[in-house]
Amino acid sequence: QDFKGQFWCERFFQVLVVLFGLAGFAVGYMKQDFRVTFQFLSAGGGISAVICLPDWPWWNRNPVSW
Amino acid sequence: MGEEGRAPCPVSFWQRLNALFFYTLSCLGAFAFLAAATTYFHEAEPRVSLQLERIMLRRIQSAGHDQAILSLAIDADLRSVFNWNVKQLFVYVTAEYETQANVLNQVVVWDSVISEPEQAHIKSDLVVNKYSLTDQGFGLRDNEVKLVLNWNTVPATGLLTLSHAFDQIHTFQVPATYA
Repeated sequence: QDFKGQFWCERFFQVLVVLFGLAGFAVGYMKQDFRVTFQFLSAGGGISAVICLPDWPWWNRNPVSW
Repeated sequence: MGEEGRAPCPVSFWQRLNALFFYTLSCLGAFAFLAAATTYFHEAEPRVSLQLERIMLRRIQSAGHDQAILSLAIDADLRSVFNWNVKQLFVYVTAEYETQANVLNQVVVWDSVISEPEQAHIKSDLVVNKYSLTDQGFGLRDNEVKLVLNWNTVPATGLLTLSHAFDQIHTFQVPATYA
């Protein structure tokens, strides 16, 4: 029950996926191969999944007390 | 949401998976659109050379039409058509001619799917037509026929476009006698 952790979790994967997407867009444009962009985005999504989906303790630092 | 009061997190695993997956998918869509935008002004400089090598004209009396078997020499360099938003090209050759029945007859005589830029240089001296050149009636004999190379550009994102090499066509005369 950590609303701050939840917020940062979402913000984290949003930024990470966009960063991977931008990198993939640049590399894909240079290689003229959109598949590279897709692979970068998938990697960003995959890494985000590992970091954001399970209940890691670092997303639970501000537990709601009630 | 898990059992009441015990949920370790207010947003469940599946909700987070859903959010992440569709967020990534939205990003993919946005980047695909951007990629299409970068290729909007892409200029291709295709070099096309079509040549008729041999032709055999036959009169199919029973069905009531002319039919011609062609062999072509194709030397077409479409590599410049490719960019990072092009998935494949569908290349086809049409024979175009005029008859009394129709102002324009267009008959596809050969086609090919090209998925890699390296394959986009089509060079062959002996391409026999895949689909025979058949007229509706007896309009082929001693007629003037234009060979045109056309291609559909199949993009990863965006509109499927059709191009014609109208400036690099080959014109030939069908023989006046049947084989």
